Amino acid sequence: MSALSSLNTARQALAAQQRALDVTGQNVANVNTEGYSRQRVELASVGGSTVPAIFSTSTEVSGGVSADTVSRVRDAFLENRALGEHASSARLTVESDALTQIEASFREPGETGLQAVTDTMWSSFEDVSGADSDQASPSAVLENIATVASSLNTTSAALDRQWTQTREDLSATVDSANATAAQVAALNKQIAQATRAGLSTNELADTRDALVLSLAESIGATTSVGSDGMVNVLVGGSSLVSGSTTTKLALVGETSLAEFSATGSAGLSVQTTPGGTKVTVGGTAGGQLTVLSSTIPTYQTALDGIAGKIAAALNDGNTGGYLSDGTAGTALVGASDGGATITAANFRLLSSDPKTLAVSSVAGVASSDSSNAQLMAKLGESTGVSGDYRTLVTQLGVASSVSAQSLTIQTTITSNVDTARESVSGVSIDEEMTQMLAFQHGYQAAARMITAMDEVLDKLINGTGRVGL
Amino acid sequence: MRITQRSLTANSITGINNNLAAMTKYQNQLSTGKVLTKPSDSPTDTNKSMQTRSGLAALNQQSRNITDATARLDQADTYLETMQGLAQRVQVLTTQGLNAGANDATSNAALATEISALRESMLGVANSTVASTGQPLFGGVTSGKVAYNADGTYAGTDGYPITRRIGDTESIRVDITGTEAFGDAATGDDLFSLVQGIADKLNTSPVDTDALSADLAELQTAQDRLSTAQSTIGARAARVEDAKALTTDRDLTLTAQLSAIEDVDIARATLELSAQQVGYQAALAVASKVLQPTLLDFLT
Repeated sequence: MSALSSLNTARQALAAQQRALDVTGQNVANVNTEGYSRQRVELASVGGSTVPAIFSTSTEVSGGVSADTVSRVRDAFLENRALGEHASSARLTVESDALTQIEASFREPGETGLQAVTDTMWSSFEDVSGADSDQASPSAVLENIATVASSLNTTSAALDRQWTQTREDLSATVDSANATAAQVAALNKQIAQATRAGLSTNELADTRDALVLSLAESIGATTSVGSDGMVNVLVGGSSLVSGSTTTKLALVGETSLAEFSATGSAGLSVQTTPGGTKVTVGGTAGGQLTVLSSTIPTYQTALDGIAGKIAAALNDGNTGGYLSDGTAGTALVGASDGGATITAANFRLLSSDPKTLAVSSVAGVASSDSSNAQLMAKLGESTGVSGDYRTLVTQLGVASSVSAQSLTIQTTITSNVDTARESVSGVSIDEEMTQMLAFQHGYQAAARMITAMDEVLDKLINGTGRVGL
Repeated sequence: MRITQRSLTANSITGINNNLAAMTKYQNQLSTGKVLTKPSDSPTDTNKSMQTRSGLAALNQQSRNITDATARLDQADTYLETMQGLAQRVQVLTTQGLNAGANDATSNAALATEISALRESMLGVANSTVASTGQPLFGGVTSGKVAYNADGTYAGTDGYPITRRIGDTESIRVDITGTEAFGDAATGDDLFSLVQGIADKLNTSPVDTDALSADLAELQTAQDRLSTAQSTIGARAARVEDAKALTTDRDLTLTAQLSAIEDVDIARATLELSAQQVGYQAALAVASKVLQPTLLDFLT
């Protein structure tokens, strides 16, 4: 133990406290930075020589303090959980929004929905009188059928548009995920180099982890720990980022709802490129894929079913009756593309000539009978198509409301996890201020230590050996 | 748990946003007047609302049908009444002819002329048309313009009753054919052939009083048939009246139901809005208190 070593200890203390103050300053500076994890200087006392030698035993008290390591305060388990919960939130948000948009397309309950126009159409059959010389009442019926046709076409087109838009969105999501993955890989590389060089990687790691979280939200990415501080990013079990290399993803498959329905679906997927391995995506992309491959097609198919039933009821009713001149009625509605299958998209009134309405039940002779029209008025209820439509709308309402509820619950869970993360990694100003005071005092004490040693040495050098001077 | 300034801020923002969202909900309800604007607001109420709307549409149509049915039945009733009057006049004249004796050719010829004129009037009444469509009232579903030709032959088409739906399950016949009201023209059993026969008999001298008496009896039968037709029409009109009352009642009930399902309870929504407002203000007040101080305020 020498006086000079005490000075050295005090110097180390000064440096360590200053380092700690630096870190406190960094923490305070980033108090509101998204994704920043608070940092701590790992102060460690340096012990004396612990290896006894034969001829010299150390009597040193200690070797001072070291402040080499600055660590990020972070809970890896919470971070992993956050990835999963954020992905679920993003997926549910997309699904719930899609259902809300579908609800808007159906415009129920209200005056403009399919229900109101079909009700008007069916009941207008009861107004038909066979003796109507200017054909006003049959014309009104045909007008009402045309309104139903346009209502079906509009709803179908809205679903179609929604599908196309969602596909574009999904494509954009995949592209942005590729870009983010490339950034993660670049940061991984820098972190590995810095780690090997023994430099601090805290800020780089924070930036990278924020990007990984955004990948979790967009495509449901998860992570595994790699070497040299790198992370590997996985999507649905396939590797997206491995160290500093990435695998690109691409959206392949049908480009329109019509094509999707025609091919029976299997093609639409997110795949690795090159490689063409199908990847099970989560997060926003997962939600979008569900909307594309299940939600929208389900309601489109159901609506097509309703359109088909209305068409069948109208056509059967009309072919079962006779025109005012006694000839048999023909089909009233058909497919605008001339095909055999009538869907909501191609539902069309075949002729606007009021004489084509088979109002009469009298075969062969001209009459003013309108009993077939009276029968047709009841077809909406008797064929069950009105009930089917109500069931469809109710199911849509249930699906949308359940989805909204799940989203509310998931949002709470996600925000709880975020609060827990913030609780671990967030910067508390009060805490930093207290630490600052502590380090400040430490610094002052170390400075006082130097003064004290200075005085001791002064005494020793200038005040001793002067006996008799 | 470690609480940081940022988590306080985040919590405050979440709380304030939640309050605002709830306020928006009530504001929307109050400004649109509706609590049910999309199926997910309440799927079961949506189903009820759609059923009620269907019910109202059907009722609306039924009340139009009822108006049409009432008009047709009233018209038929009026014309049958007129016909009854004409038939009575024929009966009186025929009885006069019988009383005048077989040989008073001049007076019988005068009676015959009047009866022939009455027959023309009768045919005119029988050919009256439905005001709304121009269809012959007693012609069944004929596509022609008349129920009876000028020579008294029947031009109507029978066998296809004209019905109107006046309730969800109840349809009512709104026409009566010439055959039903005036007798079958095909077998010469009808009112017009009978009246023609009476006129012809009075025109021949000497008058065949026995045959004329028989005709008088038949005329009574024809009048009874008219009465029966009238009461049938009256009974149907009464049913339509009942249906009309029922339709009005159901319309009120369903409108009230729809309103209860879809419309906002203003008092309640206003109260909820006020409550949310209080919550919102509290959240703001708390935020201003909690976010403000840090240890910095107390360090010198």
